Amino acid sequence: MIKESNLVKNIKPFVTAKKISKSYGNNNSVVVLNNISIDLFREEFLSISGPSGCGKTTLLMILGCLMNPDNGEVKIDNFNPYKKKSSDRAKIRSEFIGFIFQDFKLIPYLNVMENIRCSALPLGQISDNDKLEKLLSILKLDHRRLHVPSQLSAGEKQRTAIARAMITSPRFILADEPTGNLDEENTEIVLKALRDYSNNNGSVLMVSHDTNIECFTDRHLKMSAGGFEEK
Amino acid sequence: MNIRLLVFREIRFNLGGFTAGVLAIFLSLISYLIAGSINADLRINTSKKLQLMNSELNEEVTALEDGIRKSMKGLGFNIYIYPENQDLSAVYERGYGDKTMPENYVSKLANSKIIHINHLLPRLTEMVDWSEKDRSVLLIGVRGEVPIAYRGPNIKKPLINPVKEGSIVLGYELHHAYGLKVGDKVNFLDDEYTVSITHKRRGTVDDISLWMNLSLVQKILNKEDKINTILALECNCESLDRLGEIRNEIHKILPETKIIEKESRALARAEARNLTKFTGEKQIQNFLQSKKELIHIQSIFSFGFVIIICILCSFWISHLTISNINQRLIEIGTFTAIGFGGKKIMILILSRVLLMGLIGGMLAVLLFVITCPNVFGYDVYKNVTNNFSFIIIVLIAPLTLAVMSAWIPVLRAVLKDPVDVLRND
Repeated sequence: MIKESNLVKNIKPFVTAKKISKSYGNNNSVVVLNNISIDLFREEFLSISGPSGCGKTTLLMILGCLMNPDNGEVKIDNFNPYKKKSSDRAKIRSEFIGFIFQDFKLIPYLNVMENIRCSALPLGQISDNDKLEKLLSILKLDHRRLHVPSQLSAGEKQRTAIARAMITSPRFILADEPTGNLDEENTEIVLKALRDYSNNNGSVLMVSHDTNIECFTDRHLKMSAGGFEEK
Repeated sequence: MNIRLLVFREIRFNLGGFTAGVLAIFLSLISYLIAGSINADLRINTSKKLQLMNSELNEEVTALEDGIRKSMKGLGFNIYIYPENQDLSAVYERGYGDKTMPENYVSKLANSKIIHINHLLPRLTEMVDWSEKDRSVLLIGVRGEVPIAYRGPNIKKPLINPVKEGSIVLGYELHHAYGLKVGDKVNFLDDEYTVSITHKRRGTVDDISLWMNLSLVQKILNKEDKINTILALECNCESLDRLGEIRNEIHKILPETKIIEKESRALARAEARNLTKFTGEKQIQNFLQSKKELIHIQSIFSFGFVIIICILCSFWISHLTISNINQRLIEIGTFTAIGFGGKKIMILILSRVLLMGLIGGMLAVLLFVITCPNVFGYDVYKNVTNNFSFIIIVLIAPLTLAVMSAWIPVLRAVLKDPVDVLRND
């Protein structure tokens, strides 16, 4: 259910996908997304759940300017990223989008602070130290700041990945099963962090096969066999 | 936080692979430098050996030349002056010339300021039948030595005394065959002469020669005031082209003459000197040619070896880069997701490869600079390093080799769809 405040403040969605389709395999024999549409509003925490292979990750990749849909149109802040050059899409990703992956995808040779800061590199920015400290504190990573990923627990790794996604204050965060490898305590920390982010002028789109996440989000969509059934 | 830090952190993280890459570059460059040093060493040694050979040859030739000068100075040498139209093949065939020239030619020479000739002997020679004895003899009309006027009276004993009119000088065969002795009377072409001198056996044409007064012979042969040769004896000239020098001098006085040299010890020595010089030069040329071939073959083999090493190292670096990139596919996908463009990712990977080339190259040069002067000597070190191509190769080759070897894997990594990595993982 969309929060009333969002409906009032953000009548126009920030990210829009209209009738997008995507197929894989020889002759596009495996249809993953079939003519689906989705909007993501500002300050909205939207979750999508569904079984494995239903196209959740593909949808995230398309919305994250990483994969061109076969059909349909994606608009971010009213422009279509797929009508731009690859280098421009990279710039859009660095300015507008933060990614969180189920398996964290941290850079193995960088410590926690460096992993967080590296997402500011494409923007040519030196990350804000206060913001970094705040994120380390919120995500309970203070004592791990100089540790490399191999020295971290799964929860710490995911919290580092969340901090990395948030350090540049992107307009929206795309989270692919962020709690998939976490225990209850860490799941709560992660969801709370994402909730807080969406409450502070950001948007979050999270996909998960876990249906219990809907209580943390503003709106929840259920996905099956390439389509949505809105709740 | 910057790209540089990322590169250094990654190198520290994958130090083994990086070190292996550095080693590949190091091996390539050091093999090139060693090959270059070996070739330079051979070139320099050849050059030194050639210098030594040249110097030895020059010493030998100089010694021979000194010998020639000394022998020419002491012995002098003899020349024949013939009329210009004299066919020399006739001279060499008969032993005398059949053409004549005016007798006053000898006076011209004697009255000139000629410096290279000491004695002048005009002659008229012809083979005639000694009808009284029914045999052929070589009739030689001689006038005795004509003194060279500007030198004043000759205080030395003349080389040849003139034959008085009415006298006759006989070679060994002539007086021995007929039992003639000095003071005997003998008929020659209807006139009677007194034998004044009988020569011992010489084993030459002199043994059948008969000498008479020149004017008498001119009358007998109907060649009044004519001679067919002037024998110039004890010519002195210290230069090696003595004949040329004397020819020049004589031709200024008697332009219508032809001059040939009578064999002498000095000539033999000059020939020996020429032969020594020719043989020595030939030996040097042969040595140089064989060394050139050796240098050429060695260059081909050594640089072939270097090329093989470079190709192997290039595959090695390529393999290492592929392994490195395969290890880093997730990292590359992640960087792409957070907004790194293809160029930045390429810089990230190529910087590592360039550093590999830089460090490998520097280590090779360092080892070369430390060891080359001790192993091959300073000359070789200088020869190799004082070379523009050396500087270019040392600066560019390691980096080029590293980048070229890694280029295709890097390009593949950059062009790889990040979604494949992010999704498949």
